[in-house]
Formats: sequence, C-alpha cells, structure tokens
Amino acid sequence: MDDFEKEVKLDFLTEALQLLDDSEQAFLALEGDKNNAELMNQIFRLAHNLKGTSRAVGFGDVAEFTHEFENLILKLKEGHLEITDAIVSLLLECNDHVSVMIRMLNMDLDSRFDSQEIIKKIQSALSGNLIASEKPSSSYEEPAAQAEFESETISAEDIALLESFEKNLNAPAEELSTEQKEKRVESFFPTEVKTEKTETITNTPEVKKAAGAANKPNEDDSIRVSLSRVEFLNNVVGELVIIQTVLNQHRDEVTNPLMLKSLSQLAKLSKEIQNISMSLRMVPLKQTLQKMQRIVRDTSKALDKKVLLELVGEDTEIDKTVLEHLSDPLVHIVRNAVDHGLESTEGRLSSGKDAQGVVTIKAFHEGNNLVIEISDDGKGINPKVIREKAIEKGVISANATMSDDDIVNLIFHPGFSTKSEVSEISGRGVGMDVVKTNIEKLSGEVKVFTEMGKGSVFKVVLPLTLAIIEAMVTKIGEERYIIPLGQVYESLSPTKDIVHHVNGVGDCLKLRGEVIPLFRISKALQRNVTEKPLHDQIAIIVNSNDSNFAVLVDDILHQQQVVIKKLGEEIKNQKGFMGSTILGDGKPAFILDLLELFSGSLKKKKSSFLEDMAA
Amino acid sequence: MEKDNVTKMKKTQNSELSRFIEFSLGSEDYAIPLLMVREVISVPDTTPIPKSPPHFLGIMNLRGQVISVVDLRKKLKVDAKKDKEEAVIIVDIGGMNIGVVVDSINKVLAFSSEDVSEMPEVEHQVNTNFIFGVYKKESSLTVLLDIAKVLDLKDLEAINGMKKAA
Repeated sequence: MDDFEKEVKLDFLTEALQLLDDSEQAFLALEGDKNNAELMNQIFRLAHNLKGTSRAVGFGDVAEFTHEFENLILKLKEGHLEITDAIVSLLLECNDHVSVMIRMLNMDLDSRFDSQEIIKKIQSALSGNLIASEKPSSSYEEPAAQAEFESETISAEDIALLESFEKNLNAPAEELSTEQKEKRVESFFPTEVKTEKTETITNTPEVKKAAGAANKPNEDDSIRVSLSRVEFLNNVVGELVIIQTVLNQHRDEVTNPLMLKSLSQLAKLSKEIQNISMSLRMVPLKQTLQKMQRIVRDTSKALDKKVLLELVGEDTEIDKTVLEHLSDPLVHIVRNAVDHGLESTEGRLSSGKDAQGVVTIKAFHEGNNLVIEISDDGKGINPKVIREKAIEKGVISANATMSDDDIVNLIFHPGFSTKSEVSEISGRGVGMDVVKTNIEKLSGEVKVFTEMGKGSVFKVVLPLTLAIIEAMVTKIGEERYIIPLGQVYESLSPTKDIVHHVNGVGDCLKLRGEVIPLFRISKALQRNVTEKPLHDQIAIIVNSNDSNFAVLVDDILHQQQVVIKKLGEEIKNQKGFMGSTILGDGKPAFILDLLELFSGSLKKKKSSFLEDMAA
Repeated sequence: MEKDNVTKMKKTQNSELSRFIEFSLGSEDYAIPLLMVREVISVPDTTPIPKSPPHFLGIMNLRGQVISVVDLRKKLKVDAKKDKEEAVIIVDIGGMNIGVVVDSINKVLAFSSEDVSEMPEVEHQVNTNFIFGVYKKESSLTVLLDIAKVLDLKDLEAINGMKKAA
C-alpha cells in the first residue's frame, strides 16, 4: 500500500467517525420526530456520503454494508416503510456496526468484515417483517483476519477508481450533468452536511438546549492541531514566563524609560500569550454530553422507562486530557440515574409524577473548577436502606453514628457494591467506587445529594486543567519533592506524645482517637538521605480512600502553583510520580503521587495493624 | 546480527556520505548518527531520579522541558577520563529526548558506508547488538553506536511506531 493511498484511507476513517457521530445524533432525533422530512434528507445524505467515500478509498466491506444501509434509509425517506421505534433501533444498530468496522480499520487497514447477519436484518426490515429487537446491541463478532482476499487487488482497483473520480472533478463542467457533479462534490466535501446538521439538532424537541443554540460555531473557523504541538507551545510559553519573572526581578537596575516601558509591555504580552496557550487545551463538553443521549436511550429502552435527557451548558469548556477520562464515569452515573434513580413508569404514576422521568446533566464553571451535576427526579436514595446494607456488608459497624448525608455517600465505598446486586444495565461488575476512583484520579471529587421522593443529584467537581495544580514544595534531606495539595489533609508536628512505635508495624500516629501509619517518603523512594530527627520533622496526613496515613518531610518550603511536565517514556512507568515540574530557580523536581507511592505498603500494613490494635 | 545492522545502515544511507558525531568515553572513541543529535550542552544541574538504575544521572530542565540525563560511561562500564571536560548530547530518539553524558565531543565524521566494517567476529560474551559497526581511521577505530539500543529503548520505540501507524 503506498503512502498516498494510506493517507487517503486514514483521512476517510477520521472523517467517517465524525459522520457516524452525526448520524447517531440524527437517528436519536428521528426517534422523537418521526415525520421530519428535513432530518430524513440529512440522514440520507450522511449514509450516501459514507457509502460513496468508503467505496472510493477501497474499503469494500464497509461499502457493501453501507450500500444496504443506504437502501434501507432510502425506503424510509420515500415513505415506503414506516419509521417505528424498532426501525430506529435497527438504524442505530447499523450505525454501531459501521462504527465498529471503522474502529477496527483504524487499527488495521486490511481488516475484513462479515456483515451478513445484520444485512439479513435489514432485508427482513425491507420486506416489512422486522422482529422488534428491544436490546440494541451490535451483532458484531470479531472477524478473523481473512487472508484469502489480496489487499493488493483492492488497492489497484481503487486507485483506478479514485483517479477516475479526480478526472471527473477536474473535467470541464459541461461534461458532467449537474446532478452528477453534486454527487461527486458531496462525496468529497462532507463538511457541507455537517454545518446543516447543527441546525437540525437544535430543532429536536427531545433535546432541550439551554445554552449555545444562539451562537452556533462555524466549523470552518477551526483547525485540528495535534495535542503534542499544543503541549510543546505550552512548554515554551512556560519558559517564557520564567524568564519574564527574572526580568521583573531586575527591573530596578533599569533606568532607561523606554526600556522600562517595553518591559511592562512585554510582561503584559507574555501574560496574554500564557492565557491563550492554556486555553488551547480547552474543549467544549458538547460531544461527550451528546453521547449520553444514546446511553439514556438504550438504557431506558431496555428498562421500559420513559426518560427525557436535558443538557445544560454543553459549551462549557474543559481540559482535553480531563475530558478523555471523564466519559466513563459519566456514562456510569447516567446509567445509574436511569436504572436506580428513576422509578418505573407505574411507580411514577402512582406517586403522582409525570410518566416521563427527567435526567438533567448540567455543566458549569465554579471558580477554578468545572462542575457537572447529574440529577434525576426519581425516588431518591433511602439512607435507611443504605445503612442496613452497609452494616450487612461490614462497611460500618451496627452502632455507628453518622449523618444521613454521610450514609448516602457510602455508595461510593469500595466495599459497598458487589457484583451480585448490580443489575445488568448499570452494573457490568463495577460499582460507584470505581467512578469515585476514576474521578479522584483526575484530582476531582464526586458527591451525592438526595431527597426522598424528589430525586438525587450527583455532583462531580473537577479541576479545569490538569496542567497546573496547587502544590506544596517540601524538603527531604537536601532534595525537594512536590506534594499535590489535593492529597494533603493536614500537616502537623509529630510530637512525642502522638508518635507511637508498634512492634512489627513501625511508627504510627495517634490522632484524635484514630491510629494512622507513619511512612517515610525517603524510604519508599529508596533515597539515601540524612533526615532531621523525627520530632523535628513535619507529618503530612494524606486522606486515602480506605484509610488515612501520614508521611514525614523535613520541611515545607512553600505552597505554589506548579505546571505539570510529563516524564519521559524511559521513567514513565515508575510508580509514585505524577510528573515533574520546574521550580522558580529553574531546577526540576518530581511531583509525588503519595496515594500511588504507598498503595502497596498500606494494604500490607492494614491487616497486621488491625490485629495489633485489637490486642 | 551485526550484518543486519550494517546492511540496514547501508540501505538507508544509500552509500552517500553519512555523518556521525564522534565523542570520547574514557580512552575510547564512539560515534552516533548526527541526525539524532538535537544539541550539545554542558552538564546541567540535575535532580536525582528515585528508584532508577545507576546510570540514570537525573532529570534536567532543558528550556522548560524536563528530560532524563543518562551517563553513557556508567551504562557501557567505561572509566571516566581524569580531566573533567564532560558534555551532554541531547539525542532525539523517535521524538523522545534524552541527555547523554560523555567525556568530550571530538568532531563530526563524514564517511561513506564502505568505510564501515562489521564488528569483528570474535567469541563475545557480551551482547554487542547495539553496535552498528566500526569506522576505521589511519590509526584508531571508532565504534558506531545505535544509541536507542544502548539505552534499551528499542521496545519503547517499537511501541511508539505502532501508535503512529494506527
């Protein structure tokens, strides 16, 4: 396969994923508005587009399937077939199938697929006897790489095809009928369709848009830039800012008024450049939130509930890296809201509520944080039930006194949810504790608020960016280490009366009736440094999921914002580091991830610890 | 193994002049392809890397970028020169930057691939697959290093290559 062909194919794959996202949205919109001719036209254009381009770039299997797909849509468009919920499910299933194929191709351009099963479904739908399949799952099976078909043969054919396309494009306009021309242009420039799509979506009654409808972004105004380039820019700008500080410190030595003026102008400019370069990493939540549309649909269909999803603040921006890790926890919370949060239709009617449940996802900025609230108007969480379960599972003791709020938040406790009690929909074997862990990995937090009979709100608070964090610069021996402020619960002096030595376990702190293990950072890092005597050191209490622990540092130098720099591949796999940063004097220092660094020793000690305390 | 390396190099360089940067480690001369060199700097302040192998000197600040610095003499178990002239070569291995400490930078070599001979076939106990070949001058020899292999970074490179292809 030559480079040109490969490039054309890869371009197609990127484009196709975008088209599939668009068509998924369109299908979902269609479900709520089955007679929307404009929407149908748009869907047809998208499908046609996919078929045309996939054939042109030489993905025979994709083209073959999309051809059937297009046939089905054509029948729907011309009104030969009625659009039912079952049909929409089938359309979505087809969409998923194409999406799987595209993703497989992305990994291996020579992947082959067998679409017979789903084509049969389409054909039976075309002949009018679709058996309603309520569970919209993709019937896709992993295809074994089939070598019988020489990829070279396709390539040759398709290059010829492509060439003829190009010729047609370049040919004088008279030679092509207008219709033909449009077809060609359409299959090569799908952006046209995308812009139109934005409008259609806003017309959909299923989706209420509170923000962003007024100023639609013009897609031609943006370019795609690789994240590594943005990171590179951020690095250079970071350095610029350091030099700027040095310049400012020597301002007094400058007497020339013109120089002084230029210096302050330069300071202003670099501040501005810094702001812009940081904002480049920010992307709107829109796409991620729109994916929830599909989650809600599939979940509610499977549970036979009527659910309306409201999205508020889709244009709220967040750091690209945070966004990437946000999707999974969000899906989980949303599924949970539809499954456990909302009552069944009968249950709702009997408690005097609207038959249709409402799940709202609201995103907004609050200080330096992004807040996402997922609320439902369901039955709420009963603290009594949670309490009973928690006692049963041994998460809390039977006589523990806790506020209702604290009890409800026990659903995030790792010991709380187990496989047996999780339903098929929101389960998949992982509990809310995984949601919590994932969000905490992003230095965020999640809490639940609930009111019996009125519903629950899951509040996810995330830092706007992972590129800068608040941190403590600490000294251990002659070395400096950075501790993220998010992991510091409190710091105190380990005086003689609170430090105890437990045989076989090591040192520990007795603090307000709680006994917590005391670890040495230098030991965990295997650094041979001379530390101060224990009682002159500072103990930092770290709040961990399972239990707290304390670490010792010689000194806390100061608190500051640090720019996180990634570690190179050669040392990336080392446990216990969040990254590195460059301090004010230009020297690099490691940012510690104390939870990761001590996760091993904590588990090991916990068991022996409890025994000792019981004795 | 060595044969592969030489033929591979011959192929890629197409018998045109290839340029290598020559440096000393102790009393021996080594060279790496010039195209892999980003820059040469004096030895900077480094911060030690906890839990790393002894040849990792630390991390340094290269104009805002944090990169690891490796002492090639320790890695190849060559005794350092007495006079402290030391330099750090910043190499670019598939987009990954690493600083390499050497005793001194000598010169840029330019030669055609015919001047490169394979490693002499001796019964070696040590693994020498990180050596491209040997460049012969009038009186001395320069060992041509595959720096990615020296630093055991081949696997990483392979992973990166796969990512790019996908």
